[in-house]
Amino acid sequence: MTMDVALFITVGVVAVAAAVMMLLSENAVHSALFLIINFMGVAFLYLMLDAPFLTMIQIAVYAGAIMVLFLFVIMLLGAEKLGEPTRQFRWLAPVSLALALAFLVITSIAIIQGRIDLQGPATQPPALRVVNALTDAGAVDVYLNGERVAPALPFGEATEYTVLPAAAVVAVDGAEADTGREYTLTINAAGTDTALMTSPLVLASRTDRQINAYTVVAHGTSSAPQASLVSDNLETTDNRAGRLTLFNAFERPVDLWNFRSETNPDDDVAVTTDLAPGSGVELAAIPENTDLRAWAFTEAGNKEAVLFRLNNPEVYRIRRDEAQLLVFAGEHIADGTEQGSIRPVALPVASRAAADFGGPHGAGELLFTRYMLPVQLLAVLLLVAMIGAIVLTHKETFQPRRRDVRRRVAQPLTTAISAQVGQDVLQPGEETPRLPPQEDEQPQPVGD
Amino acid sequence: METFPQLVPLIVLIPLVGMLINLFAGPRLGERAVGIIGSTAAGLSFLIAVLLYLYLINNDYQAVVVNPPFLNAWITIPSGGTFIPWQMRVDTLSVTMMLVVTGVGTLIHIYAIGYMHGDPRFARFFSYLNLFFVFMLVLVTGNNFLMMFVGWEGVGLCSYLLIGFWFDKTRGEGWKNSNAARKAMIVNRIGDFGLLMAIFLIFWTFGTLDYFTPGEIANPHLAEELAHEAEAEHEAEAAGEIGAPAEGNAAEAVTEGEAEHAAATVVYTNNDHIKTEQLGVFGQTERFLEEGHDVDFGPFSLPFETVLVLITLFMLLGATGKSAQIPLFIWLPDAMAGPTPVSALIHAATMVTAGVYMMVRSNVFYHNAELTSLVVALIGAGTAIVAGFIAIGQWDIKRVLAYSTISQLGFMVAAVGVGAYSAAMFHLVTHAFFKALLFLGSGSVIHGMEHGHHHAHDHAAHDDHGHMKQADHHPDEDKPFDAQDMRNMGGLRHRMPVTFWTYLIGTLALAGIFPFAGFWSKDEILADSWLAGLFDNNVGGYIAFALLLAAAFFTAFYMWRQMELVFFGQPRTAAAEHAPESAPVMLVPLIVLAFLSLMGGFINTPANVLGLDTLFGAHRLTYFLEHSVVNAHAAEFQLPIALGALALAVVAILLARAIYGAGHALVEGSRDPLAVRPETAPVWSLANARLYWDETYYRLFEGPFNRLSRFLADTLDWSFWHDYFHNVIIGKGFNGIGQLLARPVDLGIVDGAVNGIGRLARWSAGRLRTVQTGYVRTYAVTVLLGVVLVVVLLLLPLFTRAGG
Amino acid sequence: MVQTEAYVILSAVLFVLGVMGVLLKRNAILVYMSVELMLNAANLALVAFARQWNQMDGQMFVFFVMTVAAAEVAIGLALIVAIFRTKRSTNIDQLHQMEG
Repeated sequence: MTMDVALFITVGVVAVAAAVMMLLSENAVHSALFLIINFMGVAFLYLMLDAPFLTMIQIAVYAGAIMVLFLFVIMLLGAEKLGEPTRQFRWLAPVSLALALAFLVITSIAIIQGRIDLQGPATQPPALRVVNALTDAGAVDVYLNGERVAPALPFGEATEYTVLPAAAVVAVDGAEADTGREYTLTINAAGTDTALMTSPLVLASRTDRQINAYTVVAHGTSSAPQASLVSDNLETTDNRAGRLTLFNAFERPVDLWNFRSETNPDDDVAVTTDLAPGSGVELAAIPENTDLRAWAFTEAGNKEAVLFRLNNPEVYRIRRDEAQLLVFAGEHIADGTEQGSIRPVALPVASRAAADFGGPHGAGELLFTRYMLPVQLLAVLLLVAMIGAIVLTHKETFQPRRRDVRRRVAQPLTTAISAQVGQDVLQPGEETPRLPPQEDEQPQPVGD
Repeated sequence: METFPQLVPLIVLIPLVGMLINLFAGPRLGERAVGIIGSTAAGLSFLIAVLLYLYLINNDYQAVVVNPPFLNAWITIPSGGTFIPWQMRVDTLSVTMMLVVTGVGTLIHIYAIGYMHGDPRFARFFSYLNLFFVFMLVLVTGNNFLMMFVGWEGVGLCSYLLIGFWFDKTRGEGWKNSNAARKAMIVNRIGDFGLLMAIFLIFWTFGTLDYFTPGEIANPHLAEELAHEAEAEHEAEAAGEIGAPAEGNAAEAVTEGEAEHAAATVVYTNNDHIKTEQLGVFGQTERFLEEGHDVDFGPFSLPFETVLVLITLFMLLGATGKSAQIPLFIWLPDAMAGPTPVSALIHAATMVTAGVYMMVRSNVFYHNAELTSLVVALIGAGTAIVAGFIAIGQWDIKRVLAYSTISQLGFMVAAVGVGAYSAAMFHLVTHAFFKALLFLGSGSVIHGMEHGHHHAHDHAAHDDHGHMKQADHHPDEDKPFDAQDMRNMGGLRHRMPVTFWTYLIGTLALAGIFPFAGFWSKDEILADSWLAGLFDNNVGGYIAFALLLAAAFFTAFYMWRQMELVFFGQPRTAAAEHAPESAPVMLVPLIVLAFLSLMGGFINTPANVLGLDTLFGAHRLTYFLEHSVVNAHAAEFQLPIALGALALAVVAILLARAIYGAGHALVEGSRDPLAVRPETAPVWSLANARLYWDETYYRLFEGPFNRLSRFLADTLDWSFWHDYFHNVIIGKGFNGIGQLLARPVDLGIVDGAVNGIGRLARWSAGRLRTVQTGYVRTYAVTVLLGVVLVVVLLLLPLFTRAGG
Repeated sequence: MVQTEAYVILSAVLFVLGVMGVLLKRNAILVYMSVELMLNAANLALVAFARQWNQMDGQMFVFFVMTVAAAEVAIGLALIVAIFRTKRSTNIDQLHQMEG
């Protein structure tokens, strides 16, 4: 029995016992206190289930605020004890028990029969992006498994992450096995069918909670292209820092120096040295807004031969919760000579770090992105509940209103009509009202 | 000036706008503004008519057909090939009518401002008058029979509205007025039936309703004649030029110029280049008559000449309705119930001449239908003498004039019958002048008499706020005062001098005294009748001549009788003693019309009479009309006939003066001198009873019709249809079925089912209500039961899998 | 690592206990507390499954359930207070005006 199982059993027993005691207790205040214990146990279980944020909410809001409210109302009304139990529904208790037990049995059977844990854990298919660092190829078309993911990708740009089709995971009795899957990356010169490069990649799905993301850096020249696979670390760092990964796509090995002081060469720090072509290195987390203007790529072993200075703070910058891939590459410049020249350049390829699971960071990100509308609705609901509580507990809400006792009595129609015309419509003894008789004018013959 | 004909839609639109303004805004605008708007609209129409006249005389009298920009295709039935455009025709005939209608009409509008002053429906009166203008001008400007029919019905409507204008008079007057309006409407419907039949026949025969299509020459004979004359003149000029020392290239230039001219505009002098089916009805008639033609009516076919007789006879029926000829003239005397300006405008000067206008317009038909011409001549002449005779025995001042109008219309119709179309139009024009004058004069007299009556009876409190035409100012009076009865007048010569003199001019013009307008026009008709008999062996001509001569005698006699009764002698009532002269706004139109009655005859003076033709030109109206009236011809002046007719009129006047003059206008209280003489009494009472014409109609038509209606209504409709059929068959059958449906079906099956369902629901509800204990815990248990069941159902697949 | 099944069965047990409380308790306040217990049981299952499937959405649902529960408690307790004012009792067996 491992530690966590022991903990689970202990906490579970406490929670169930608290719930039972809550039911059995005759005093409502005691019941409330037992319920608080139960809530605390559940909060502990949340913690074991990788939900620290919910744990805090459970304790603060549920076990705290809501239960205080309960206790307050109980004390306010003095309703901690009930009087004599009514003798009305004797059949209710056995029936309820039977039904509840039936429910429990059914669900338990279902849970056990459902073999939830053997459904296989969630797998994360690999996500892939491609950086075009080919020296002289210009824009390229990128195909993954024959499907074009980026048309005319210019030099120095990266595609979005493309989630690849998941590799098959064979799960046998909890053993996790992933054979990986072969994907084909094809890069064409933009708008042509001729493949500059076709490279097979074998990537696996992951079952842990780690981010499964990769970057392929296409470098070299168009006559001898190469594709290097870099595994991306998109975990969030500690507070107020960002990640930086270097990749050398240049033709020669390079160093990266931090010339901290302009005057004293001894203060210079080599961030990394002798980074071979086609290789990368992940640096330690760097605090955000670190000044990179003093940083420069140099020839390997010769810090005087500066190849490229990162002196543009708008471009080269460490941002919080960002995992940056800095690809050092050579760009082909047509300068009039036959071969042209190669200009070294550092290409920043940024990506946002993934949020942590179950923490406030991840929760906040989800609440303010995917669940924005429900949050709004909840806010409205809470507002309505607030107003409703005020209205319901307002003293006069349920006072009987004064009724207007004197109801209007329907008038006879003739009375209404005579009130309109100002005279009696019905003469006594007359059945139907008539117009006053007209003066009859008989037609006279024409002529004298 | 070339654009003047494009104004012709305005001649209709302007009165229409005036009508709308007066109709909707009139009551708020006040009398003054309403009168100005109405008269201005009429005056603008007259101005446009004058402009059109100027256009015609400056453009060789060439007719112009105008398609208004809207209403271009009025009635179009593509499958039937029917296309009736809303075309307006500006030619000499229509312009003549326009001038008469708008000219006389404008004067009457102005007169009505004074006459209708104080009437509560002043604005409505003027909007009706303007509406009448609209329809009358549609009638005369239309280029097809359908537009004529629209105008024809429209003026009939206006006539109806205006005859019954005072429908709300008390003491039975209102009934009389509205009955008169209905009578006019109904009698005219009979005539309209004839016109409609004629239009249908025309359309069937010719496939069109256009008088002349655009570009067609109305009178090719005249056009060719004029072309020949021009050629002869040209040749004469050329002959003169040969003698002159002309240079060679000058002559060449002339011929070249001519050639260019000919090439530029091909001037047609006849319609031979137009296909028969593209001609108007009159052009087609002449072609058909030349070539011979049978009209196919499906089962049978008739020769074209016969169809023509049918068409013209149907048209004649229409004309007898609108122009008040035998046998349909009976509505016109009653139409005098309307206000006097209406009598002058609609029932004397313009609308009633629409029938004459139509027949003159269709002169090609009538000229070629001899049988119809004879009938027309007899009807016209007969109407003239019958109406003239009746007029002798009437007391009502306007009624005398109404019969006079009928009689004069008879003259015009008879003129059409003898082929004297231009004479008919001539008489139409002059008659419009002097009959409008007489009516307006009589209106002035009536107006004066009413004023005098008020004055005489309101010594103490003279009510000056207005003079209601109704005599209901004195409801306690036993006998209503009749301001139109000539027995109440007399001696008005001194009280109303202007009215007297203008009325005298009108009388003399109507009586045909030289040199007033009536002399010339009446003489032309008489001469034409005589000549028609003499040269064309037309029996109708002789008969018409004789009858018209007698009618002319009657005319002079009854008119002078009227003069004696109204203006001469001593005042016979207090009203006549105090009658004041009318306002200037009424007198000015009288004076203008008097001038026209005096001079109007000179528009068509015959040749070689007292040198008048050097002063006024000879046969000017005839030559003017010739361009659109194919068969117009100028009659030679017949001195014996003229002298004879003149002598006859003078004798009649002297005779009337002898009988009625010198204070003998009324004898034995208030009886006519002719009525007391035993030898003349029966004749006079026959005239006074209007020859029992209405009564005969009543016996022949109205009585049997009423009896038939009563039979149909009482016996057939009420007794049989309502009482028997409805009650017995429908009612009882319905009741039987109703009983059957009610008892077994409704009560048994339907109600039983519904009640059964109700009882079932009640019973089950009674059982189920015990479930509703009101205790929340029982509800909760029920919910839990449901939850368990649902969970079982949901999880059933798991169990089966586990089991299997 | 404790299996998810264990948590779910614990959740079911707690839920049934809550159900029993709702059915058998006569004090309205205790009924409400039992309802809270049921909600907690459901929450526990949700969190367990969130871990099982490596998705945080389950935890978000728990968050929402808590919020709704807070609103519900506010309204419910207000109702109990209002009823107590007229009935002078929180015994739900004395409330049966809805009897059919």
